[in-house]
Amino acid sequence: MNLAWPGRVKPAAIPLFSTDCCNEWRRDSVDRQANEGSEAMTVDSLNRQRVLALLEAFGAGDLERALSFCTDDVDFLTHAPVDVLPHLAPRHGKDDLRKLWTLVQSRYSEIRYEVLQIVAEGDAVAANLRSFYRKRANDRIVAVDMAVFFTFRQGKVAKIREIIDSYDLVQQVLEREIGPLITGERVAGA
Amino acid sequence: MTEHSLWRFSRALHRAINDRHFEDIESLIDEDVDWALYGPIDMFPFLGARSGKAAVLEVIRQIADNFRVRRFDRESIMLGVDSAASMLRYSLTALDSDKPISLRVAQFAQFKAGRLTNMRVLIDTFDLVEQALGRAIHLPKMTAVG
Repeated sequence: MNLAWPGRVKPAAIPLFSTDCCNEWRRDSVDRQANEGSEAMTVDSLNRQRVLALLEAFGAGDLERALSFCTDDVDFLTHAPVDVLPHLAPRHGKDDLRKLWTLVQSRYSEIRYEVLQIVAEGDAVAANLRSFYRKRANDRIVAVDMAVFFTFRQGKVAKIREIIDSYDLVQQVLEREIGPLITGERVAGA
Repeated sequence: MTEHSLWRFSRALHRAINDRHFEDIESLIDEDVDWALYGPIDMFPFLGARSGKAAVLEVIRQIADNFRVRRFDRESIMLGVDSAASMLRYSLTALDSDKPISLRVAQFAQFKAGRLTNMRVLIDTFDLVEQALGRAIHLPKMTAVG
Protein backbone atom coordinates (compact mmCIF):
# COMPACT_ATOMS: atom_id res chain seq x y z
CA MET A 1 0.00 0.00 0.00
CA ASN A 2 1.36 3.35 -0.94
CA LEU A 3 0.24 5.97 1.51
CA ALA A 4 2.98 8.29 0.44
CA TRP A 5 3.23 11.80 1.77
CA PRO A 6 1.82 14.19 -0.84
CA GLY A 7 5.18 15.84 -1.48
CA ARG A 8 6.70 12.36 -1.49
CA VAL A 9 8.75 13.30 1.55
CA LYS A 10 7.63 11.30 4.52
CA PRO A 11 7.62 13.00 7.90
CA ALA A 12 10.43 11.50 9.97
CA ALA A 13 8.73 11.58 13.33
CA ILE A 14 5.43 12.83 14.52
CA PRO A 15 5.67 14.55 17.87
CA LEU A 16 2.12 15.13 18.97
CA PHE A 17 0.79 18.59 19.59
CA SER A 18 4.06 20.27 18.79
CA THR A 19 3.36 23.86 17.91
CA ASP A 20 6.59 24.19 15.90
CA CYS A 21 6.77 27.58 14.27
CA CYS A 22 3.92 28.80 16.43
CA ASN A 23 6.09 28.68 19.52
CA GLU A 24 6.47 32.42 19.74
CA TRP A 25 2.76 32.70 20.18
CA ARG A 26 1.42 32.80 23.72
CA ARG A 27 -2.21 32.11 24.52
CA ASP A 28 -2.59 34.78 27.21
CA SER A 29 -1.15 37.42 24.96
CA VAL A 30 -3.47 36.57 22.09
CA ASP A 31 -6.50 36.42 24.36
CA ARG A 32 -5.77 39.87 25.72
CA GLN A 33 -4.91 41.44 22.38
CA ALA A 34 -7.73 39.71 20.54
CA ASN A 35 -10.28 40.84 23.06
CA GLU A 36 -9.03 44.33 23.81
CA GLY A 37 -7.17 45.20 20.63
CA SER A 38 -3.59 46.34 20.62
CA GLU A 39 -2.03 49.33 19.02
CA ALA A 40 1.25 47.46 18.98
CA MET A 41 -0.12 44.86 16.57
CA THR A 42 -1.33 45.49 13.07
CA VAL A 43 -4.58 43.98 11.86
CA ASP A 44 -2.48 41.59 9.78
CA SER A 45 -0.45 40.29 12.70
CA LEU A 46 -3.43 40.15 15.04
CA ASN A 47 -5.46 38.08 12.58
CA ARG A 48 -2.44 35.88 11.99
CA GLN A 49 -2.22 35.26 15.75
CA ARG A 50 -5.93 34.53 15.91
CA VAL A 51 -5.58 31.85 13.22
CA LEU A 52 -2.67 30.26 15.07
CA ALA A 53 -4.70 30.36 18.29
CA LEU A 54 -7.70 28.74 16.59
CA LEU A 55 -5.51 25.96 15.20
CA GLU A 56 -3.82 25.41 18.53
CA ALA A 57 -7.18 25.19 20.31
CA PHE A 58 -8.54 22.72 17.75
CA GLY A 59 -5.39 20.59 17.98
CA ALA A 60 -5.70 20.60 21.76
CA GLY A 61 -9.29 19.42 21.52
CA ASP A 62 -10.71 22.65 22.91
CA LEU A 63 -13.51 23.05 20.39
CA GLU A 64 -15.33 25.80 22.23
CA ARG A 65 -12.21 27.93 22.32
CA ALA A 66 -11.61 27.24 18.62
CA LEU A 67 -15.22 28.18 17.86
CA SER A 68 -14.89 31.36 19.94
CA PHE A 69 -12.68 32.76 17.16
CA CYS A 70 -15.53 32.35 14.65
CA THR A 71 -18.61 34.41 13.89
CA ASP A 72 -22.01 32.86 14.59
CA ASP A 73 -22.64 32.58 10.86
CA VAL A 74 -19.20 31.24 9.96
CA ASP A 75 -19.12 29.64 6.54
CA PHE A 76 -16.92 26.56 6.00
CA LEU A 77 -16.11 24.86 2.73
CA THR A 78 -13.56 22.18 1.89
CA HIS A 79 -12.94 21.45 -1.76
CA ALA A 80 -13.07 17.67 -1.47
CA PRO A 81 -15.24 14.83 -2.83
CA VAL A 82 -18.27 15.06 -0.56
CA ASP A 83 -19.82 12.01 -2.17
CA VAL A 84 -16.89 10.04 -0.73
CA LEU A 85 -16.33 12.11 2.41
CA PRO A 86 -19.89 13.28 3.16
CA HIS A 87 -19.00 14.94 6.46
CA LEU A 88 -16.91 17.44 4.48
CA ALA A 89 -20.03 18.93 2.94
CA PRO A 90 -20.27 22.72 3.32
CA ARG A 91 -21.07 23.93 6.84
CA HIS A 92 -22.86 27.13 7.70
CA GLY A 93 -22.99 28.57 11.19
CA LYS A 94 -21.16 27.85 14.40
CA ASP A 95 -23.44 24.98 15.45
CA ASP A 96 -22.99 23.23 12.12
CA LEU A 97 -19.21 23.69 12.32
CA ARG A 98 -19.25 22.38 15.90
CA LYS A 99 -20.92 19.19 14.61
CA LEU A 100 -18.21 18.70 12.00
CA TRP A 101 -15.35 19.36 14.39
CA THR A 102 -16.90 17.12 17.04
CA LEU A 103 -17.18 14.36 14.45
CA VAL A 104 -13.52 14.81 13.46
CA GLN A 105 -12.46 14.73 17.12
CA SER A 106 -14.48 11.55 17.63
CA ARG A 107 -12.61 9.80 14.82
CA TYR A 108 -9.09 11.05 15.46
CA SER A 109 -7.42 10.81 18.85
CA GLU A 110 -4.65 13.27 18.12
CA ILE A 111 -4.51 16.19 15.74
CA ARG A 112 -1.47 18.31 15.05
CA TYR A 113 -0.63 21.09 12.63
CA GLU A 114 2.67 22.42 11.40
CA VAL A 115 2.38 25.84 9.86
CA LEU A 116 4.61 25.82 6.78
CA GLN A 117 3.69 29.33 5.68
CA ILE A 118 1.18 31.90 6.77
CA VAL A 119 0.38 35.12 4.94
CA ALA A 120 -1.92 37.79 6.33
CA GLU A 121 -3.22 40.90 4.66
CA GLY A 122 -6.04 42.93 6.16
CA ASP A 123 -9.02 40.70 6.87
CA ALA A 124 -7.58 37.71 5.06
CA VAL A 125 -5.14 35.06 6.27
CA ALA A 126 -3.88 32.06 4.31
CA ALA A 127 -2.07 29.17 5.95
CA ASN A 128 -0.23 26.30 4.32
CA LEU A 129 -0.51 23.54 6.90
CA ARG A 130 0.95 20.09 7.28
CA SER A 131 -1.64 18.28 9.32
CA PHE A 132 -1.53 14.97 11.14
CA TYR A 133 -4.56 13.04 12.34
CA ARG A 134 -4.23 9.82 14.35
CA LYS A 135 -7.14 7.46 13.72
CA ARG A 136 -8.81 6.16 16.84
CA ALA A 137 -9.73 2.95 15.02
CA ASN A 138 -6.19 1.71 14.35
CA ASP A 139 -3.71 4.42 15.39
CA ARG A 140 -2.70 5.09 11.78
CA ILE A 141 -1.70 8.61 10.92
CA VAL A 142 -3.39 10.53 8.14
CA ALA A 143 -0.85 13.17 7.05
CA VAL A 144 -1.92 15.75 4.54
CA ASP A 145 -0.84 19.19 3.38
CA MET A 146 -3.62 21.70 3.10
CA ALA A 147 -4.27 25.32 2.25
CA VAL A 148 -6.71 27.15 4.50
CA PHE A 149 -8.00 30.62 3.68
CA PHE A 150 -9.61 32.56 6.52
CA THR A 151 -11.69 35.70 6.05
CA PHE A 152 -12.25 37.87 9.11
CA ARG A 153 -15.17 40.12 9.96
CA GLN A 154 -14.88 42.38 12.98
CA GLY A 155 -12.05 40.33 14.41
CA LYS A 156 -13.67 36.91 13.99
CA VAL A 157 -13.37 34.24 11.35
CA ALA A 158 -16.41 34.51 9.08
CA LYS A 159 -15.28 32.27 6.23
CA ILE A 160 -12.99 29.24 5.96
CA ARG A 161 -12.01 27.71 2.62
CA GLU A 162 -9.76 24.66 2.39
CA ILE A 163 -7.95 23.11 -0.54
CA ILE A 164 -6.42 19.70 0.03
CA ASP A 165 -4.60 17.14 -2.08
CA SER A 166 -7.92 15.31 -1.90
CA TYR A 167 -6.88 12.30 -3.97
CA ASP A 168 -4.17 11.52 -1.44
CA LEU A 169 -6.50 12.27 1.47
CA VAL A 170 -9.08 9.78 0.20
CA GLN A 171 -6.40 7.11 -0.22
CA GLN A 172 -5.12 7.64 3.30
CA VAL A 173 -8.59 7.65 4.85
CA LEU A 174 -9.64 4.60 2.89
CA GLU A 175 -6.22 2.95 3.41
CA ARG A 176 -6.04 1.77 -0.15
CA GLU A 177 -4.77 3.05 -3.46
CA ILE A 178 -7.32 4.39 -5.89
CA GLY A 179 -4.98 3.93 -8.85
CA PRO A 180 -5.77 0.24 -9.45
CA LEU A 181 -9.45 1.14 -9.74
CA ILE A 182 -8.72 3.30 -12.74
CA THR A 183 -5.70 1.48 -14.15
CA GLY A 184 -5.50 1.32 -17.86
CA GLU A 185 -7.65 4.33 -18.47
CA ARG A 186 -6.12 7.19 -20.35
CA VAL A 187 -5.82 10.38 -18.35
CA ALA A 188 -6.09 13.62 -20.29
CA GLY A 189 -3.13 15.94 -19.80
CA ALA A 190 -0.85 13.23 -18.41
CA MET B 1 5.80 51.85 -5.62
CA THR B 2 7.56 48.68 -6.69
CA GLU B 3 5.45 45.95 -8.20
CA HIS B 4 5.15 42.84 -6.03
CA SER B 5 7.23 39.91 -7.28
CA LEU B 6 4.09 37.77 -7.57
CA TRP B 7 2.71 39.82 -10.45
CA ARG B 8 5.88 39.57 -12.51
CA PHE B 9 6.12 35.87 -11.79
CA SER B 10 2.47 35.25 -12.62
CA ARG B 11 2.70 37.05 -15.98
CA ALA B 12 5.88 35.19 -16.87
CA LEU B 13 4.41 31.83 -15.86
CA HIS B 14 1.36 32.26 -18.05
CA ARG B 15 3.49 33.45 -20.94
CA ALA B 16 5.64 30.35 -20.53
CA ILE B 17 2.65 28.00 -20.47
CA ASN B 18 0.60 29.57 -23.25
CA ASP B 19 3.27 31.05 -25.53
CA ARG B 20 6.19 28.77 -24.68
CA HIS B 21 8.21 31.87 -23.93
CA PHE B 22 10.53 30.73 -21.13
CA GLU B 23 13.11 33.54 -20.98
CA ASP B 24 11.14 35.74 -18.59
CA ILE B 25 10.28 33.00 -16.13
CA GLU B 26 13.86 31.72 -16.14
CA SER B 27 15.12 35.04 -14.83
CA LEU B 28 12.55 35.06 -12.02
CA ILE B 29 13.42 31.69 -10.47
CA ASP B 30 16.15 31.34 -7.85
CA GLU B 31 18.84 28.73 -8.54
CA ASP B 32 17.96 26.96 -5.27
CA VAL B 33 14.20 27.12 -5.59
CA ASP B 34 12.14 24.61 -3.64
CA TRP B 35 8.95 23.64 -5.46
CA ALA B 36 6.03 21.27 -4.89
CA LEU B 37 2.78 20.67 -6.74
CA TYR B 38 0.92 18.20 -4.54
CA GLY B 39 -0.83 15.41 -6.37
CA PRO B 40 -0.63 11.92 -7.87
CA ILE B 41 2.72 11.86 -9.67
CA ASP B 42 2.00 8.45 -11.17
CA MET B 43 -0.81 10.04 -13.19
CA PHE B 44 0.66 13.49 -13.71
CA PRO B 45 4.46 13.30 -13.83
CA PHE B 46 4.88 17.07 -13.60
CA LEU B 47 3.36 17.03 -10.11
CA GLY B 48 5.50 16.40 -7.05
CA ALA B 49 8.49 18.04 -5.45
CA ARG B 50 11.46 19.58 -7.28
CA SER B 51 14.62 21.32 -6.19
CA GLY B 52 16.62 23.78 -8.27
CA LYS B 53 15.88 26.02 -11.19
CA ALA B 54 16.56 23.50 -13.95
CA ALA B 55 14.13 20.97 -12.50
CA VAL B 56 11.42 23.60 -12.05
CA LEU B 57 11.84 24.92 -15.58
CA GLU B 58 11.47 21.38 -16.86
CA VAL B 59 8.18 21.06 -14.94
CA ILE B 60 6.93 24.31 -16.45
CA ARG B 61 7.86 23.02 -19.91
CA GLN B 62 5.95 19.80 -19.22
CA ILE B 63 2.89 21.76 -18.14
CA ALA B 64 3.18 23.89 -21.31
CA ASP B 65 3.36 20.65 -23.34
CA ASN B 66 0.12 19.40 -21.81
CA PHE B 67 -2.10 22.37 -21.00
CA ARG B 68 -3.15 25.79 -22.15
CA VAL B 69 -4.56 28.35 -19.72
CA ARG B 70 -7.88 29.61 -21.09
CA ARG B 71 -8.75 31.76 -18.12
CA PHE B 72 -7.89 32.27 -14.49
CA ASP B 73 -9.55 34.26 -11.72
CA ARG B 74 -7.99 35.17 -8.39
CA GLU B 75 -10.63 34.50 -5.77
CA SER B 76 -8.44 35.49 -2.86
CA ILE B 77 -4.98 36.98 -2.58
CA MET B 78 -2.69 38.02 0.25
CA LEU B 79 0.61 39.74 -0.31
CA GLY B 80 3.38 39.79 2.28
CA VAL B 81 6.70 41.59 1.90
CA ASP B 82 8.42 38.69 0.12
CA SER B 83 5.57 36.21 0.14
CA ALA B 84 2.16 35.69 -1.36
CA ALA B 85 -0.78 33.34 -1.05
CA SER B 86 -3.66 33.11 -3.44
CA MET B 87 -6.65 30.98 -4.32
CA LEU B 88 -7.26 30.81 -8.03
CA ARG B 89 -9.80 29.31 -10.35
CA TYR B 90 -8.15 28.00 -13.53
CA SER B 91 -9.82 26.98 -16.75
CA LEU B 92 -7.40 24.85 -18.74
CA THR B 93 -7.45 22.87 -21.95
CA ALA B 94 -5.70 19.50 -22.04
CA LEU B 95 -3.85 19.76 -25.35
CA ASP B 96 -3.85 16.06 -26.23
CA SER B 97 -7.61 15.66 -25.91
CA ASP B 98 -8.80 19.27 -26.23
CA LYS B 99 -10.73 18.56 -23.05
CA PRO B 100 -11.57 21.48 -20.75
CA ILE B 101 -10.39 21.17 -17.16
CA SER B 102 -11.44 23.49 -14.37
CA LEU B 103 -9.35 23.67 -11.22
CA ARG B 104 -9.33 25.51 -7.95
CA VAL B 105 -5.73 26.01 -6.85
CA ALA B 106 -4.04 27.37 -3.72
CA GLN B 107 -0.61 28.85 -4.26
CA PHE B 108 1.97 29.83 -1.62
CA ALA B 109 5.07 31.62 -2.88
CA GLN B 110 8.18 33.08 -1.32
CA PHE B 111 10.62 35.41 -3.06
CA LYS B 112 14.09 36.73 -2.44
CA ALA B 113 15.46 39.67 -4.39
CA GLY B 114 12.55 39.33 -6.80
CA ARG B 115 13.20 35.66 -7.52
CA LEU B 116 11.02 32.71 -6.55
CA THR B 117 12.64 30.67 -3.77
CA ASN B 118 9.71 28.53 -2.66
CA MET B 119 6.42 27.49 -4.24
CA ARG B 120 3.74 25.21 -2.83
CA VAL B 121 0.62 24.50 -4.86
CA LEU B 122 -2.39 22.58 -3.59
CA ILE B 123 -5.14 21.33 -5.85
CA ASP B 124 -8.40 19.48 -5.29
CA THR B 125 -6.72 16.50 -6.94
CA PHE B 126 -9.61 14.07 -6.69
CA ASP B 127 -11.61 16.46 -8.83
CA LEU B 128 -8.65 16.88 -11.19
CA VAL B 129 -8.35 13.12 -11.71
CA GLU B 130 -12.08 12.72 -12.31
CA GLN B 131 -12.05 15.50 -14.90
CA ALA B 132 -8.98 14.05 -16.60
CA LEU B 133 -10.62 10.62 -16.70
CA GLY B 134 -13.87 12.12 -17.89
CA ARG B 135 -15.93 10.21 -15.34
CA ALA B 136 -16.55 9.91 -11.63
CA ILE B 137 -14.46 7.58 -9.49
CA HIS B 138 -16.90 5.43 -7.58
CA LEU B 139 -15.82 4.65 -4.07
CA PRO B 140 -17.76 3.69 -0.97
CA LYS B 141 -18.88 6.54 1.24
CA MET B 142 -16.51 6.78 4.15
CA THR B 143 -19.05 7.78 6.73
CA ALA B 144 -17.55 5.59 9.41
CA VAL B 145 -13.83 6.01 8.88
CA GLY B 146 -13.29 9.40 7.32
